[in-house]
Amino acid sequence: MDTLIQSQPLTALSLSEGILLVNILLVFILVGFGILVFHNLLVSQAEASRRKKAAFEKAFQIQEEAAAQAALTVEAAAKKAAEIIAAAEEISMSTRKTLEGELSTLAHKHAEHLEQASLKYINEYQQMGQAAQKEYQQTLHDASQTMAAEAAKTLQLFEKFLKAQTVGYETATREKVEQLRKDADAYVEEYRRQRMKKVDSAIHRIILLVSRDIIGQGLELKEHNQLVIQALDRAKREGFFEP
Amino acid sequence: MTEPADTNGYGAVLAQVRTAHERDYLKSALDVLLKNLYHTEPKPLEEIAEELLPYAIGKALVASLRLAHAADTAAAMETFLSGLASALGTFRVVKLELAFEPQEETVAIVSRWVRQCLGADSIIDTSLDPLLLGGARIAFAGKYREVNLADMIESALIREESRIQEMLL
Repeated sequence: MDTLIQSQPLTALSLSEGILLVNILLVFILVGFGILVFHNLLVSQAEASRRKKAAFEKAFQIQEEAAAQAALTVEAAAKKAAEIIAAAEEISMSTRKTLEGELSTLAHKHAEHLEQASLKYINEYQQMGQAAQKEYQQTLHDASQTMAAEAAKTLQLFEKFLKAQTVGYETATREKVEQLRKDADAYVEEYRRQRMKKVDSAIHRIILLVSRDIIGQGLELKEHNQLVIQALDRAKREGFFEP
Repeated sequence: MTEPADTNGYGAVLAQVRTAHERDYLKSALDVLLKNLYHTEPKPLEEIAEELLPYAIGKALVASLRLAHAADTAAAMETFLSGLASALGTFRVVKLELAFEPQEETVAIVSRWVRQCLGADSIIDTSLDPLLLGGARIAFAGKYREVNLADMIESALIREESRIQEMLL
């Protein structure tokens, strides 16, 4: 800038210098304003940091106070709860003792009642059993007497029946033996007859067999003629030719 | 049984017919004779009879024809032969199955028995069954009877049963 000022004429230099000075002044003003703004910005930032720090500190303080308060409250609550639990346990213990006492009393009363009832029932049953035993013995005695009488009567009847049956059996046995003997005789006779028939038939067959072998093949014409005439004669005798 | 009166002269011929075979031969011969009547050159009656018939039947036929003068004219002969053919159908036949092939002797004996016992119009018709061994299987007028050798022996055994049993005991 110094170089420029020196090379220009004086009139022109004065104007230019004025403008330049104004500009420089303006620049200084602007720089100064800028510095001021920057300074204010820094101050504001510092203030904000301070306030923030103060707020944090305050908040921390409040938090600590709240925590302390909460701890106190919890401690008080726990203490209260412990007191309540202790009271409840005391009540429970008392109640259980009372209940156990009541139950024990009740059980004792029931046991006594049951014992009395049992004794009473046992006594009654014993009396009933004795009565029943007496009645049973009486009934048994009566029944045995009746049965003995009936048995004696039945025995007599059976004896009579047995005698009659024995006689009947003897007769039936004799008849049966007689029938068996007759059957055996008939069987033997039938067997003998069958055997005779068999023997007879066998003899016939044997004779026929021999006759066929010997007589049949050995017949002469004359004998054949005679047999034919015999056959015709027999047929005529039997009425074969009659209408 | 009495023989019928021989009013038409067939008796001598029919008397010679003893079996169904002879009857059939005669019937065939009569047919030939009847046809021969109308031939332009007919054969002699004797020649045909000798050729086709057993000797006895042929001889009786020729004799009967001459006796009845039936051979004099063709018409008379035709009448005689036709009548004789019809008479052949009136025979009663006794069928006999025999255990042997019957020979002349058997035919003679059996036919004589049949004619004596059943009548002159009865003839026999024989056939062979060797299984019979002996005796005969007879069929007559729709009836049947078998009397064979085995039957005869069995009958004899039954008849003599008591004697056989006595011998056995």
